[in-house]
Amino acid sequence: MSKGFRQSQSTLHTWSGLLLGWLLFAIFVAGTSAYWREALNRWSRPELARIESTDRVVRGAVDFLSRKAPDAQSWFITVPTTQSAGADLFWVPAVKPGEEGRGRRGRRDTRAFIGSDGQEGTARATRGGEFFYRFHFDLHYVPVFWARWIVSIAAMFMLVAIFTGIVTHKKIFRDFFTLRRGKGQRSWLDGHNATAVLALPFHLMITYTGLVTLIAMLMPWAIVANYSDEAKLYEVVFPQAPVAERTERPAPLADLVPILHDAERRIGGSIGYITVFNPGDAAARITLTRSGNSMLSARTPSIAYDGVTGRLLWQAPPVGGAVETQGVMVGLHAGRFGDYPMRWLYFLCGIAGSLMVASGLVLWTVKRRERLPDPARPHFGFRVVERLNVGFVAGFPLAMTVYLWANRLLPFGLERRADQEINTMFAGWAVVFLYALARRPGRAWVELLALQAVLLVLLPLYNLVALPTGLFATIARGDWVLAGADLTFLALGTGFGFAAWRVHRFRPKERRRAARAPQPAANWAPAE
Amino acid sequence: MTLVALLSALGAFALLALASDRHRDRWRGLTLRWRRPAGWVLVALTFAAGFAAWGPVYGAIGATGLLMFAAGVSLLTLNLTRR
Repeated sequence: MSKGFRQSQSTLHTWSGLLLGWLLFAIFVAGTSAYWREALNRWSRPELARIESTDRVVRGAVDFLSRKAPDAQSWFITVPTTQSAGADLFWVPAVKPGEEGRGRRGRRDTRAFIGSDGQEGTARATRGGEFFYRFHFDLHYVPVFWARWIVSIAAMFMLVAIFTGIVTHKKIFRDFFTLRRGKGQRSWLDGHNATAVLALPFHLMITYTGLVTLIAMLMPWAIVANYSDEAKLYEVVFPQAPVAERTERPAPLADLVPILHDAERRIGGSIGYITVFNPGDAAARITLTRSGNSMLSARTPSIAYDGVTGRLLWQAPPVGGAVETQGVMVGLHAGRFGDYPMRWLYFLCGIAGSLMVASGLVLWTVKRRERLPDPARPHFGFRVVERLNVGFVAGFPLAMTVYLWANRLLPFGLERRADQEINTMFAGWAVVFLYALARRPGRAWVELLALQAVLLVLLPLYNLVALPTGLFATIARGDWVLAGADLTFLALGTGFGFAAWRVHRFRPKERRRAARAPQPAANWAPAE
Repeated sequence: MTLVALLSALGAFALLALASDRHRDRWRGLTLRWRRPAGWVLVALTFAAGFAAWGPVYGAIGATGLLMFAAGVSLLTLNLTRR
């Protein structure tokens, strides 16, 4: 391969990696945590006992909706598993005459959460692990449309960075098992290469399939060319049972639980969510959609029943090749199909990806530091990158930990509590960011990594002292979802503590040389 | 079967790593020229065990995941224990 080509790819790799690397890091970390979304949802609601009977929760959901929104246009119930915290519900209220055009109703007015006891409101209001999942493609405080474009552009940069990285890496096979320690820039490069190359199948898959999840937004041309009518497209992609018009003749709703079990038998897997159209009306329809936990494709089929008689009305036809392909790619990205060993593999690969992005960002400064004319006074661009690295790489995981602490410490009855948890997280991140900008990076790295370690390790200790879901109790009950969460926090905290200790002990060779020189460079600080 | 797949993946990458220039001096158990082929045989076995454990579709995903994990374990073990 010509040297010029490799050099150009190397430059492209450096800049495509750096420019959106900070955002990519946040996306990667939040997305990685989403593999334990359900576990975090449970962990965030320690008041709730483990679900013993999912039927009880579904019955509780129907009872709640029958009281709260008997005349709604539709109900939407997520069907829990024994690993989840409970059932999320929402409903579309009936439009009453004279109410039209009054403006949008608040989203929360039509949402509820039913716990394992089948009751609403037993648990603290929180978005739990759901928030990190949404953040990794919807961000926050930004309109969703813009957020998805920003995230998509970052993912495209990532794809470019991966391909150019492969071209740039000169000895991809010879250095496959190489990790040289204590060699400065060489060690950083080895670490960056190892996290990238060893988990390369994952990185390629996750970035490409991540783009595929938003393909209709990014590359709409095939759709525009083939479908003039959007409704027709929806019919092909999300086949739905025909909805009957409301008759205004009241009729009791059929028992949902036997229908749920019948649907599971017919569809060949567990059900993920139930939609009830026209509840309480003679034209009621119940649609049940297969759960993504039970198949690879995320485009899961539906089945529909008459809501009064419970008679089977409709079953989704098999989807076409294009929809199936996209569904499989999205399923592969989300990993919902995975059992626990599989989820651990996904999670570890996600950590490797996060470390790859983080080490790449740090490497940018490590590489340039040696070439600085005056290491005591690096140029402005260098200082910006150095401090942004601290603000994002040390700051974002810290902000996530602040969110978990907010979940524990904010008062139960606080107004808009779930939103306040999120606001606390971003307020915490803002403080950390300002600190990272103001403080000498060498010190800021150590202090923030150490703080992160302490906050993570204290989380399970707090649970032990203040809550009935302490580690010993959950292990004794064999509740490995909650125990696993606490143990993971302990392990991650130890990892961050180790990183803080290593950075603290790190003394660059240049610094020792500088110390012997007549003018010691007091402001000089290591980035790693 | 998941355990067989895991052990086979760990063995596969341990052998492949020990066949590399950097780590070949760490072990004298198996003649150098057999290490790489034996490693590849274990890679194949990992896929077979993965298919048996998770079925043909999830098996491919699981085996790839286990091999990536095993590569990471080999890399860290061999380099962090090196004097």
